[in-house]
Amino acid sequence: MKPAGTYNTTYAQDMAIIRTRLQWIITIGACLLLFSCPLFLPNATLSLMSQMACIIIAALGIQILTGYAGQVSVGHSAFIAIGAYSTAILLESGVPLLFSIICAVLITGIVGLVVGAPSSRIKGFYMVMATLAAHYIIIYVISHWSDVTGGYMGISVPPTEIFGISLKSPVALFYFIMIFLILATYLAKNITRTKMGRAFVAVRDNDLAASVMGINVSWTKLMAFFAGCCFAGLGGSLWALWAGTLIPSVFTLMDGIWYLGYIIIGGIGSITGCYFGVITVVGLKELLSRLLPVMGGQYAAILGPVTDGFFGVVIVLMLIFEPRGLAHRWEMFKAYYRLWPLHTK
Amino acid sequence: MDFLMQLLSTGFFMGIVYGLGAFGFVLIFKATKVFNLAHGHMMMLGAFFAVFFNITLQLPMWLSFLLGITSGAVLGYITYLLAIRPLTGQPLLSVLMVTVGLVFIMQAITTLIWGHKTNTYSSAIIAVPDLKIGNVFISSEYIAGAIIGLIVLTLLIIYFRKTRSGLAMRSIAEDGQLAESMGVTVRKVTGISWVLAGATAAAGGICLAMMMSIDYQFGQVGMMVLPAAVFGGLESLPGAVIGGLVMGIVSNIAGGYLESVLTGFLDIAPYIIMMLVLIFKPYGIFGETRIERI
Repeated sequence: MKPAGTYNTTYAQDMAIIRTRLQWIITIGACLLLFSCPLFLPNATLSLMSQMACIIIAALGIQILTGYAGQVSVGHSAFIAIGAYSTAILLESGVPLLFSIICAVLITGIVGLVVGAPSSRIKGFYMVMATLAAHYIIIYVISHWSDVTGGYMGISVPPTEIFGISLKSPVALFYFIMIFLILATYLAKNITRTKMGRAFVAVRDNDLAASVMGINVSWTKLMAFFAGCCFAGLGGSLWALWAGTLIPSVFTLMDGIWYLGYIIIGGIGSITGCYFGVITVVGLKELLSRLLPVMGGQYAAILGPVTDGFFGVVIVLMLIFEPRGLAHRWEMFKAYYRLWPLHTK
Repeated sequence: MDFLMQLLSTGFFMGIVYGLGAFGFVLIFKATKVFNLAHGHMMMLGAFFAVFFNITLQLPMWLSFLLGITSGAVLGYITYLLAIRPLTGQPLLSVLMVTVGLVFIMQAITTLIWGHKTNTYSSAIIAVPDLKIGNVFISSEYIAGAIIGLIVLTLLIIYFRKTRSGLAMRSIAEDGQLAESMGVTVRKVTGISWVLAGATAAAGGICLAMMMSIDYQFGQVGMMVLPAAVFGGLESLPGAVIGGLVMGIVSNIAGGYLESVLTGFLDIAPYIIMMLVLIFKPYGIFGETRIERI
């Protein structure tokens, strides 16, 4: 639904991510606002936003894998762990920061290829179980390969610097992570408008029909795993920088399932849906964690289960009443005001 | 050799109970095409209901077992009513996600009501003596669990093969629309299958909890029935039982022999076996290969 008066006359206009002048102004304004945040927000909020950015990048990955390509994966947490641990190990060995991030992303992507290798033979729920098995096996390997990964005790990430600027302060880390977030979002949006992106959607909707149309379904599924896991690796690398220390018990199966929850709430098959889902859920989690202790000591103890249960209920309700997520609501809202006053009830 | 026999027998008895859990999972899949990822947690809730009856209300174990099964049946029906029925006609991915949401809800309910305490039942469900064959020792909980599991399985199999509603359930698994046109009320039969699945899950959960203690992490143990069901093939009820047996035996043997070398292997051995099977037989051992049509 385009705004009144804008018409697409060229292919470039049709494919544009940012189409109208107003959208450009809003995008640039939002970026400026984002980068000026450290001027007026406290360090704790900046740290929370950096964490959210890492989660959003990983959620972009699961959106490509599950939302666009239809390969439901519950093992996303394990891929993030691979990205995080690879970065930490490479940094420990003295590899420069950017290079270790790139290597970690590629390593995670390759592991994703291995996990996704059977996806052309194993379909549907069986593939879900395969990703579940992959999660358990990966976390097991990380927990027990003590020489390299420090086992259950974990490893710490050495402080890093880039182009001479130290990344120890929350502000510097914030800028670093936000640059990656913007690049990753642009990359994800770009992927969805390429031939491969359209192939993902075709395979999701009906892989037999897609192969009849000439799409190489096995290759597409493998690429979906590679792309999704690359994003997860990037999110994991930045997470390692943000967190400082890594232990395997942080990367639980429930976390991996949470990523599915983020994209359900945000909207399956929509990049903006990732943003909606992650910001809503993580923001509400933070809110609950501030609110419950204030309400009384005994409430603080039940924070964990209450948060989980609350979001379980939210997921079920979202699926019953708004299965296309918050992003769909946002599109409906935009359509409403673009059509005003000419709209049907 | 004795050690191996010990592991085999413990594994066998545990495997029967895993088979019961996997049976409930495949039951729901066959009747409604829904992958109930929350099945492990339904088993956990059923076991905790029995904890309530047995430990809080101090009722005898056999009565707690029966009441636990009934509560599990009610839980199954409430799940169907609130979470599954509103989504009729939606793509299966949505229903899978709803069961994911149910996992969160059930885990939250368990932790909120029963906390982090570890609970043990007062006694085995039926009074059987411990067995000692040669040097192999099988405690009474294992035997009781296996016997109960076999009884429940037999009852279910008789139900499916001999009764009309069992027949109706098999028919809506084949083709729902055709069954509806033959006079089967699909909504009612689906409700009955969820009730049965809830009861079966509770039975499996209680038997499993009887063999070990139960705490709020029990859902992870319950989730082991998923690879068992996948291993046997999602369309095959006997496959589920066999899958459960294999999983029980394999995890016990792996745990026994490899525990000193690779700790924690016990948890991932079922998944590795399942992956190996899936690579060679993508639909499980007894599953039906799908013929795909556009």
